[in-house]
Amino acid sequence: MDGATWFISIFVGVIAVIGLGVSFVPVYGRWRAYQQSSYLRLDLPSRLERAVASRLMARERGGIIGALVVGGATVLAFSTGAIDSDPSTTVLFLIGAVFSGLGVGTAVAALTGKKQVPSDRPRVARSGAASIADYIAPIERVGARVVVAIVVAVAVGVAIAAPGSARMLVPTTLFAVAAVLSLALFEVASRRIVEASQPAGSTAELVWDDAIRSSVIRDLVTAPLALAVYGTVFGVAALAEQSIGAAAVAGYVGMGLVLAGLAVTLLASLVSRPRRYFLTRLWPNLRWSDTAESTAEAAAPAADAV
Amino acid sequence: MLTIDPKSPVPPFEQLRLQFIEQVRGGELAAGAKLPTVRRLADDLGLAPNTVARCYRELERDGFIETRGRNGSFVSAQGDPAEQQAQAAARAYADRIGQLGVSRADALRWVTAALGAGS
Repeated sequence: MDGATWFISIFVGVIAVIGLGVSFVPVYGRWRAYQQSSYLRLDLPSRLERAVASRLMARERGGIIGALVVGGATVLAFSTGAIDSDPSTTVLFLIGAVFSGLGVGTAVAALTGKKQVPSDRPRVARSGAASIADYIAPIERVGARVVVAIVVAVAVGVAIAAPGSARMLVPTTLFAVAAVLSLALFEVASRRIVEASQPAGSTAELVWDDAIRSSVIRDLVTAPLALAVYGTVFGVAALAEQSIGAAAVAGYVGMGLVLAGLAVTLLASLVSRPRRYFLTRLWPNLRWSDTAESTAEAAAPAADAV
Repeated sequence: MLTIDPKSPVPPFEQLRLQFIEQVRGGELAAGAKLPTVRRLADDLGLAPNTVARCYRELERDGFIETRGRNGSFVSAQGDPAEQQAQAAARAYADRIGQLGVSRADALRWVTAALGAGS
């Protein structure tokens, strides 16, 4: 690994450790909870504040620990020479490893959390069944499958065009394999998250549980999306580099189209406000008063967990 | 939304059954809507799975829901045959709108316009 890659690795590591430390600070947890509340335009009753902040922080911690473990292991593998790579591309692998770890850590944190409602309190549940499609916008769910299919196709293309070039083939194949694995993780983990029970004592608790589920599922889809995008850009650039004349021009045009497609998709995703998608699907008629804290609730002891 | 109050004098089974019937009749649960699995609803509401299963059996016997093997339980179309067909068509339209990613507001606007044009 060259000096620049070491610098980036250490910098990202320090930021992650600081982020991990901050996630244990209660004020930060509350700030994140209210930030979410403000973005979703959803009231956060004070009796749910601690529980929501705690779940958000558990998810963040899981993601950061996963990123640190997988990213750290990858740095170790590169620095000891266990994985050989062109120094200019090592940083791309590290970013890919960080995204993979983020996905794995978030999934583990989401699947291991438990919540309970006191048995003497009323229980609330949705009367209709919910599915993954209710928690994540099609542009992200279908988009992840499409870009993973593209990176696999690009990896096959590279294998056909330059079967002997390990410098081109190994990175693209690694990104394609990592993207497929993280897509599989997303599919399995998101299904398990949606199928898990939602014990809730009020509408507000149920809405917030949905908000956290949606947020976790969206975090999970980031890994296959990012890995597939990296792999595709890498593979198309490698193909263009390998080609000559018109084929090279076509390769660079292809890379430009991939990047343009990404920019358009990203813009469309931002405009459609995907974080609020679950509200339109699961709570289309939700009013502020449905989740706002009533005087009686405010006076009740905050013993429950979301 | 279903609410089970453990302090209520009405047994949980009856609370659940009445709320389902009310929601089916009121249209909150539309024909074709999928219900949660017995185990999932029992976990969510803190009830025994047998209580929810019994409720589903009674709702099915009374024609409010139907069980489609391993696919789960769904709300049955209510009313006379014409109303049932209309509900099935509405369900098909809603499913197609969901697949196309069209907004709820647009879907309602178009169906209202179509109804206006047909009358």
